[in-house]
Amino acid sequence: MKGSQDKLLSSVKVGQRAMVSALKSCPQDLLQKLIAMGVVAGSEVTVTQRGLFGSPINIHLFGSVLSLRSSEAAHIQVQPL
Amino acid sequence: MNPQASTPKTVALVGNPNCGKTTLFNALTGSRYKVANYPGVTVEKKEGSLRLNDGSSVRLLDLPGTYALEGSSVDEKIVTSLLTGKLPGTPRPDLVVAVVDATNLERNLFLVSELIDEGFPVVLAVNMIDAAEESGIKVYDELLSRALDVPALTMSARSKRGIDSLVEAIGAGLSRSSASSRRGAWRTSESSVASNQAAPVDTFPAANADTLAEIGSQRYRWIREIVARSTSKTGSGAQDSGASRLDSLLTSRVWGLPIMLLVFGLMFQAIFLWAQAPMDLISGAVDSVSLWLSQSLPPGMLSSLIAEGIVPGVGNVVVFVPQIAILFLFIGLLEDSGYLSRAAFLLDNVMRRFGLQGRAFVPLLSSFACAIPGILSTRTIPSRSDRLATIMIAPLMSCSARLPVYAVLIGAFVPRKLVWGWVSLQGLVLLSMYALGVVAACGVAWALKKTLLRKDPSFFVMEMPPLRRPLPKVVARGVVDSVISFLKNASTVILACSVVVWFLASYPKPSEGFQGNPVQASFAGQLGTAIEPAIEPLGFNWEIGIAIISSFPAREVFVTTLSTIYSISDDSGENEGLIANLQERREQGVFSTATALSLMVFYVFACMCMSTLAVAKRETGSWGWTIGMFLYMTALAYAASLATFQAATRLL
Repeated sequence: MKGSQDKLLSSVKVGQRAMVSALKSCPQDLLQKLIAMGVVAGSEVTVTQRGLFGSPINIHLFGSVLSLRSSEAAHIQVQPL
Repeated sequence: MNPQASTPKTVALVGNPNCGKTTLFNALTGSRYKVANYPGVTVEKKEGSLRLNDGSSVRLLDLPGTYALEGSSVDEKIVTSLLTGKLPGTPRPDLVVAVVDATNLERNLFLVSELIDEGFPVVLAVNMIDAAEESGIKVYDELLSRALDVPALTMSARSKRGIDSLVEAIGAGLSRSSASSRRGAWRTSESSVASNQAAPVDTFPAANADTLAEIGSQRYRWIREIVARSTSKTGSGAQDSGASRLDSLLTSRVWGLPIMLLVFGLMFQAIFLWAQAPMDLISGAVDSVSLWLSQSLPPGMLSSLIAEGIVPGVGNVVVFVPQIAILFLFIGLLEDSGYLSRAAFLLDNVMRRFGLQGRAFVPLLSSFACAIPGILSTRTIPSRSDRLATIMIAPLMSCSARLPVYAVLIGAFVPRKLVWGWVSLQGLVLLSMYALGVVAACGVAWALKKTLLRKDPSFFVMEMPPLRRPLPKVVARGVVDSVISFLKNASTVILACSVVVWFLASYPKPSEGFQGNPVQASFAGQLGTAIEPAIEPLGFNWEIGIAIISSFPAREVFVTTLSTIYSISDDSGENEGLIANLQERREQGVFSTATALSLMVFYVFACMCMSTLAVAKRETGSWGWTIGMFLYMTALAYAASLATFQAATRLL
C-alpha cells in the first residue's frame, strides 16, 4: 500500500526506530492482542533486543517493552524512521 | 442515597498487569496480598472491604490484570464476564476504578477508553505518579478528567499519596452512578464490545480484521491526542539507564543463558548447602523429643502411637521446612524483580520447539514449588493448546513435596562430598532429578503438540515488566505463606496419614513365635507383600510398596510412612533418624543405591497428588485430560523406574 521503504518488523535491526504502518493477515487472537498492546498503525516502536536465533524480539513502545516472536513480528509492516 | 442500605455496593479495580492495582488494593483495604512483577500474577478474585468517608463500607474486588475487554486469556475473559455481570455469584460492579500507570498512559488508557465506551461508571486512578514525576512526566488530572469525561486523580499507591482523595471520589462516584445512561467519550458503531460479548470470541467475523485494525489505530490516535494535551514531559523521559543496561545484559545472546544457568544452579545448590545447619537443628530436636517421649510415657498403645507413629511421621516432614523456605525465597526474589520474564524471553525459542512458549516458563517454574499455583498461573497463557500442554506437564516439575523424598534418599545414599572442589555431589544428584522431570516434560509437550493438540494455533506476545529491586516484605510474605501452608498440611493430612499408617503397620500383632519383622504380619505388611511381585523389578520390597501406596494422596507421606514402618520394626529400642535407618538397611543389603535411584526416578514421574488432579480437573474442565494425566505419569514412572533399576544394578 505504502512506498517501497516499508519492511516487516521481523527484519528491523536492534536499535532501529520504526513507525507501524499496517498489520497484515493476522489471526484473530493475535490481532486483538497486538491492538490491545498498542501495536497499531501510527505507533512508534524501537527494537531493543533479539533472542539467540533471532526470536523472540523485544520492542519498546510507549512506556514499556513488548516481547514477541519473529513469526508474529512478520505480520507487522513498518516504516523505518 | 442511603449509605446504610442492606447490601453493600461493589467496586472493582480494573487495569493492566503491573499498573500497581494490587498495591492500591492493599492500601485501600489494609489487607496484605502478593504483588509481583510478572504480568498476570493476580489470578484469583480478591475481595476486601473499603470504608468510605461517610462511614459505610463497600465490597472492593481486585480483578486480574487485563489489557482489553476482548482479550483471549482466561484471566481477561474472567474480567470481562465479571464486569458485564455474567460471572455467577458476583454482582455487576456499581463502580469501576480504572487504575493506570502514569509512566505508560497511552497503553493503559486503551482499556479505560473501552470501559468508558461500554458505559461503565468509571473513576480513573492515575497511579505511580511518583515514578512518572521522577522521569519528568507531569500529568494534569483535571485536563485528563475533562477530556475523558470521568473523574480522574493522580496518586501513588506505594507512597500512599492521594489515597484519601480517591476514596472520596469513589464515594461520590457511587452516589452518582445509579442512574447513568452516559454516552461513550469516543465510539464507533463497530467498536462496541458488548454486542460481541455474548458470543465466544472466535465467532467474531473474520472479514472484520481490517476494520478492527483501523478502529484500534483510531482509538490510539485519539488517546495520543488526549495524553499530549493533558501531560507534559521535561527531559528525555528515558528509562533508568542502569536498569536498562542490566536488562540488556540479562537478555543478551551471549550472557543471557549462562547467567540464567548460574542463577538456577545457585538456587539448587543453596537448597542443600544453606539448609543443612537448620535441618540438623530441627532433626536433632525431633529425635530428642521422640527419645524423651518413649522414655517418659508408660509403655502401651498410646505411647507407641505417639513415639512410633506421630512424632517420627510428622517430625521427618517438618525437617524440610528450611529447604522449602529457601526454594520459595529464590522464586519470590526472581518473580518480584522481573527476572522471570527475562527467563521467559530467553527460553521462548527453545520452548517453541517443544510446542510450548516462553510464557509457560513461569507456570512451570512455579510448579517446582507446587503444581497447584503452577497450573493456576497458566491462566495467563492466551492460547488454549499452549495452556493445555503446559497444564499436562506442570506436575512433572519436581515440586516441594518431592523434596523430602529426594532429600532423605540422597542424604542416605549419596556421599557428602564435593566434586571439582566446590560442587556438592548431593546437590548435583538433586539437580539431575529436577532435570529429568524437565526433559520428560519437553518430550510429553512435544508429543501432545504433534498429536492431540495439533490444530490449535499459538502465539507469544508478552509485556516485559521493568526490572526492579524486589520488595523484601513481598518476598518474605511469600516464604512465610508457603512455610505455613506446608506446616498446616503436615499437621493435618500428614498427621492423619501417619496415624493410619501406624495402625495398619502395627495391627494385627504377629502371632506367638513369629520370626522376623513384626510389620510384615500387619495389614500394611500383607498389602505390601501382595504387590511385591509387581514392584520387585523396580528394586522395591514390600516396605517400599507400602510407602508408595500410602503416598498416592500426597508424596511427602512417603517419608512419614517409611519412618513409621522402620520405627515400629526397630526392636533395638533406640530411635534413630530415617537416614540412619536407611543406611543400616543398606548395610544389611535390603536397600541398595540402585533401589534409591529407582525410587527417586519413580517419584519424579508418578502423579501422586490428589490436589493436583483436582485442580487439573477444574482448569481443563475435562475428566479426559485429568485421567490422562494420571495414567501417562504413572506409566512413565513405572517404565523409567524399571529402566533405572535394571541399568543401575548392572552398572553400580
